Amino acid sequence: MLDPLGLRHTWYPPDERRDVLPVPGRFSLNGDDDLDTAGFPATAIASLAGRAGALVSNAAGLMTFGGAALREHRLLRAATAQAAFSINR
Amino acid sequence: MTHSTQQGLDAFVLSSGAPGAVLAWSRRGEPATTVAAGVSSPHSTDAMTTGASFLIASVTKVFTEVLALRFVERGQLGLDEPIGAVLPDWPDGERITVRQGLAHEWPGGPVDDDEGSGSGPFVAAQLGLPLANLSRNFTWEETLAWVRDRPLQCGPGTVGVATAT
Repeated sequence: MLDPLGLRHTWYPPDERRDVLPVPGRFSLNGDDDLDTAGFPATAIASLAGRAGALVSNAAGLMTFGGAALREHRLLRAATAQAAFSINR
Repeated sequence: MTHSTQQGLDAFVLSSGAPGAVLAWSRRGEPATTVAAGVSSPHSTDAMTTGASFLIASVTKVFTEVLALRFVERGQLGLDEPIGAVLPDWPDGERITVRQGLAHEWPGGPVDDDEGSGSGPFVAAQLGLPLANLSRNFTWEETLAWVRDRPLQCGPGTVGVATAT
């Protein structure tokens, strides 16, 4: 799904290794943003969230993905993309 | 517009306390405007760049949902199929559907508080495992094990909640 969109900077750290890591910041594990990720590999702890929270990407990657999925219908049919906004109904 | 966007992001970084930030926006498919502000690390004076990569945290869920919906389009997954069909022996797997999972109506995992900050008591009780393993990659199987035996917070499909998994 990512490769055809050219999303070279969108990757899944639990399964991949890259030379360039995401920028460090503060990881909110318990709501107080007190884990400074400069001191440990944040990609590791994020792996616990797996498919719910471990991806790395950049602004261009998110713009491309959002456009492809929701506006250009390159990933989903138009009806499916629309239905995704009301999937709980 | 780029200038005012830059000014807005600069102000956000100053007021929020974040080391830096990147903002991208686009109108109706026009080429995106991307600006960066601040520094690239709490411990660096290097400027943030528009190409910087971030852990995107729960935005990951959008990618996962799109992927799941692609399987649905191909007939390989049913929205109203019990998750027990794809996660054998999952507790209550016969009464929780794929749709409920994608709609955050499967409140079985660590649950954020009302503000989505992850500070609820249910999350607090689960911090031991990640805090003791900050540098280790968890496998998907370990993630599933982390959440599989949590009691449901309420009946599947009855309420929408944000969860960490």
